[in-house]
Amino acid sequence: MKNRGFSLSIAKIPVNEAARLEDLGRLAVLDTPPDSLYGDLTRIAAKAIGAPIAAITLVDRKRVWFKDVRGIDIIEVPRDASFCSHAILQDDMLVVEDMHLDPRFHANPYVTGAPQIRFYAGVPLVTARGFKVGTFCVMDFAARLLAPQDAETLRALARQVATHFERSVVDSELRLAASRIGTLINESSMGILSEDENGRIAAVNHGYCRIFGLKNGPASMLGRTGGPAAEEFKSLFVRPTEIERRVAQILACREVVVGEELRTVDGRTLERDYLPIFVGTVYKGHLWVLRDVTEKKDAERIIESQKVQIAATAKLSALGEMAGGIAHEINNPLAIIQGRSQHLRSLAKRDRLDKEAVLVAANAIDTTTERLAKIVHGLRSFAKDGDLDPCESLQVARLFGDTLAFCAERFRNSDVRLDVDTGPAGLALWCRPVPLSQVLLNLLNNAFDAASELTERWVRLEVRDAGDTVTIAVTDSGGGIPRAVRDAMMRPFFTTKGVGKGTGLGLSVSKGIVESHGGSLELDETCTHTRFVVTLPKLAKGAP
Amino acid sequence: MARAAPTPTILVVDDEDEIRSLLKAEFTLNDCIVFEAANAKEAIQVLIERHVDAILSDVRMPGGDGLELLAYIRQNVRPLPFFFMTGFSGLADEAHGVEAAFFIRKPFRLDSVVENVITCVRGAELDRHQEAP
Repeated sequence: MKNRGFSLSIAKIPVNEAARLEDLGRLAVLDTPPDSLYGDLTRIAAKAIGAPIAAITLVDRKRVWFKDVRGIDIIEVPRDASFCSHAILQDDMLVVEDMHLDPRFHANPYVTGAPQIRFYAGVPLVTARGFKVGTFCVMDFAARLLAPQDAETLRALARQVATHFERSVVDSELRLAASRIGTLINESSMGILSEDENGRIAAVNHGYCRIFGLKNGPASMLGRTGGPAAEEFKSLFVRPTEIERRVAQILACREVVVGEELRTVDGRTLERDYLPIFVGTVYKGHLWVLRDVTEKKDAERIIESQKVQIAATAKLSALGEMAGGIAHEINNPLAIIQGRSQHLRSLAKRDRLDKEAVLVAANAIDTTTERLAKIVHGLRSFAKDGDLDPCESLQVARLFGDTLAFCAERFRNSDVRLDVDTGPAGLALWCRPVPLSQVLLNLLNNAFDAASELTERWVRLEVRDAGDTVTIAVTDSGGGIPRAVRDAMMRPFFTTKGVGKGTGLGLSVSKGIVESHGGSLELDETCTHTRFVVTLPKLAKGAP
Repeated sequence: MARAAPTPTILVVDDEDEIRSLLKAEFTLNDCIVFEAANAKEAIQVLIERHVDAILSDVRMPGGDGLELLAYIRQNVRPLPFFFMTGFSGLADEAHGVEAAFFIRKPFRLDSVVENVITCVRGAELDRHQEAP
């Protein structure tokens, strides 16, 4: 049929066109292969309505693409020449009983030329997000009416198509999620076993089979019952009945359990998680997750033993720092004792050895010997390894006395004033005296080193009763610690002292000792001087 | 004919009472006059007020150490026999760069300390007399 000279009427572009096209893209249905489901729907439409042509169409940017069509051999038309681009502007269906009588379509090439459409009825396909992405339509070569029940059928079929579009989106998202989870489970080095609410194995991975040495692989286990509770697993563990009881308990509680340790008979350590699965509030089985942490545990043990060695090193080096002072402490009294005996000899040689001279010498030797004994006692208790000592109740005054016995001389000799406030009388701590004395000595040594380089030289040691805790503060005349040092100073091997002067272990080891007492060792950042505060509970764990 | 030796005057500087009184007793027994000081400041005061032939001094003391004292003497007093006494084992560290001083390590043999100091004082006396016109 010839064009009668009327111009082609082009449908308006919907106002939400960009979002509409994006939603069409979301459906991922354009240019997909034929699907029998949609073929069935167009067949039903054509049959029910008695129309020769039925189509499911999608209005793309420049074209209308037919997801399914019967009755004509067209799968795509330009959007400008399409009927459906008009139909998607409607809220309900577009019915054109006779194209020749409609100014929008009588000049349309598909009306004037092949396939010479006369009748069109199309219902917009509305997505879940409310966009009209295409139509379900029927067409005829002759003008006709659409019965109301046929209109209803068409609307119902359009809803079916829209629903299927959405479902296939959800399906593909599920497939993606499932393959992500599948990859995670299959490739994980952790052992993962999923059981359904009846205890049947729903999924299991290679990691699980590897951990338990199951040679048949995951496939052989699916559908069976009894994962970690099964008879064959019991022989794998140390204390199997205990584990069996625990598994039963966990299954009864249906609460998340993370990181429980299991020991296998071949010396491995496993960590086990239990993760119940709930759909809404309905229990749908659970996951068992197992990790072989043998290497991690071994590494932790090695680190633990290295810490002990480091602590010993630090102690020796602190002792080394003290050695000069100690030599002085010992040699001075020795000089007095030896000198007194030699003086007695000199007197004897000259026959001037009277009673008084002997008493003076004897007194001097006695008091000096006592002084030496005290130093040696302090030295012995410092050098001995007190880390495993039991806690005991220790008077703060005694702790201070024992520690100061060593370093008071050093302070005095270098003109560093040492102020000591032992706090309220009878104040006591529940602690291991030797390590704590080491902490105190270390803090005093640091304070001494800092103060002895200044013109204003003092160190203050004070204790305060803070109710449940006791705080011991060591302050020196220094002006605080630079921020950069502050962050690093508690780390092992960090030192600002010169080569050979410090190991950088004192603070980190001291912190460890204080923390093992349930206390804390911190720099008081509010103090204008350098002030370290040790806070210790009066009654630590294990106290009577 | 040898002249009668003058009585040596010794300054003992140590913060430890016992060391001072011990040295004082032994030097006195050997016919010396002994002054005591507990630190460099006190020692300087003695040097200002008294004639001293030799000094025995501890190295580290509160209130002015032995090195300060030595420096003061080098600057302000005629050359004097100067004996450092120290209980520290690392002598070299403590008095690094100090020359023309004697070191006595604690503990010491009292008789040899006294003998050495007196010999030294007499030697210094002799030097002075020989140098005199």
